[in-house]
Amino acid sequence: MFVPILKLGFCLIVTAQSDLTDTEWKQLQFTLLEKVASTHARNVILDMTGVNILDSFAGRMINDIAQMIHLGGAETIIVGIQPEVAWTLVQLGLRLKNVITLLDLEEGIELASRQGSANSLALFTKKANNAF
Amino acid sequence: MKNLPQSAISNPTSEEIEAYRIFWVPYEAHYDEIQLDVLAEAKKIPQFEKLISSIPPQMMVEQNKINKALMRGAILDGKWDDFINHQRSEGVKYAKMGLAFPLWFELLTSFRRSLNKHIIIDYKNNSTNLNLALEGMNRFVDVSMAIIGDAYLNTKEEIISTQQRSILELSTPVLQFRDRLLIIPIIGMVDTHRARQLTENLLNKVRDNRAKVVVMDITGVATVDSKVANHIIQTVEAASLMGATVILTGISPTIAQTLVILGAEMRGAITVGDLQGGIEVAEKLLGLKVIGPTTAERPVSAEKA
Repeated sequence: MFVPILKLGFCLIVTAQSDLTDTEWKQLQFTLLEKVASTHARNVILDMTGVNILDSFAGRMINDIAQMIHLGGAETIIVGIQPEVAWTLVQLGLRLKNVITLLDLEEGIELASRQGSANSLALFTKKANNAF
Repeated sequence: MKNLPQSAISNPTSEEIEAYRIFWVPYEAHYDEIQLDVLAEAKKIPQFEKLISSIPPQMMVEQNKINKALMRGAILDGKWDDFINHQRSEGVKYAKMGLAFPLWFELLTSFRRSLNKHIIIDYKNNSTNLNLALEGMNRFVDVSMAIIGDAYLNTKEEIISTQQRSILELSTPVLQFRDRLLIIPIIGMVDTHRARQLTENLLNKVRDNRAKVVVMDITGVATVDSKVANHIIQTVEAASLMGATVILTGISPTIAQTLVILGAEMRGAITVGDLQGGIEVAEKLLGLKVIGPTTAERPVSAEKA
């Protein structure tokens, strides 16, 4: 499955829309890191709302990707982790270092815009707020 | 539902049928007398007394007639399935009424005693038949009891499992306290099963209510073992993966000591002494501020004081 990577200011938004296979995770790792480097992103939001099942490989992949992004100078925000997935991650003993986890995409974008990386969005919300 | 090896009961051997038939002759002849004997004995047991007095005599006569017809059908015409089904439903009925099982053996004893008397008198000149009749009676009573007992136990088990389910449902409420703030009071024993239920409940509620802070109050928990403590820690971690902060409150001195001795560090969890403090911290995390009544709004009684 194709995983779209959207750019929003200095923030990348990655949405896994269903359970990914091992190769797809691997693929995502490559493309995402390329993208982080090429766009000089400061934040990467990984939206996992659509992921319902997670095995040890995928769990490790997520952790690895986050550490790699961290080394690349960006910060990972994981949002939309489902209860079952959260439990699996804990059972696997994955600590998810250097990762911020938030409830959903809305919160993730809010945080990113507060940190100034999702600039265009911050601008947009500001304008929208002023309009009302 | 687990079933007895029914085939053995519903397909008796020819010797068994022979024995049943011989035992049935005096039983049928003295059926009403025996019923009266058993009834008199039953009335001596308080629980049965209450039950019997609640059944109208007309109904009792009807029931006896049905019983007799079913036994007759089984023994003489081989209609065992009808008889077995009836006995089964009796067992279910007794279990639902909450009758103690041992009491039935009291009744059985008086039934045997009464029937024995008649069999011995009727067959006093025929020792072969006497023997067969006694054997038939014993086998018949055993078979009946096996069926009733099986149904009785099955029903009891069902009752217990439904109760267990409802206790589980009741025991882990997750309350929405404020916007994005959940409270989970845990009361009573926490075993592994309940802890798992709790985790599931909590994580789902975090998602459904978009909770940011969860206050877990364990004032009502007397003891915690290492497994459960570990489970709570994992729950806290899982909740934080979902973007929620868990505040643990009401850890009693005993539990605090146990946790430290067990070496279970409550990594990642914020712990606060009591529920009130926990809620205050939660409100602070959510950026809420509780404002007391201003002078104008202050209740009159407070003014006087």
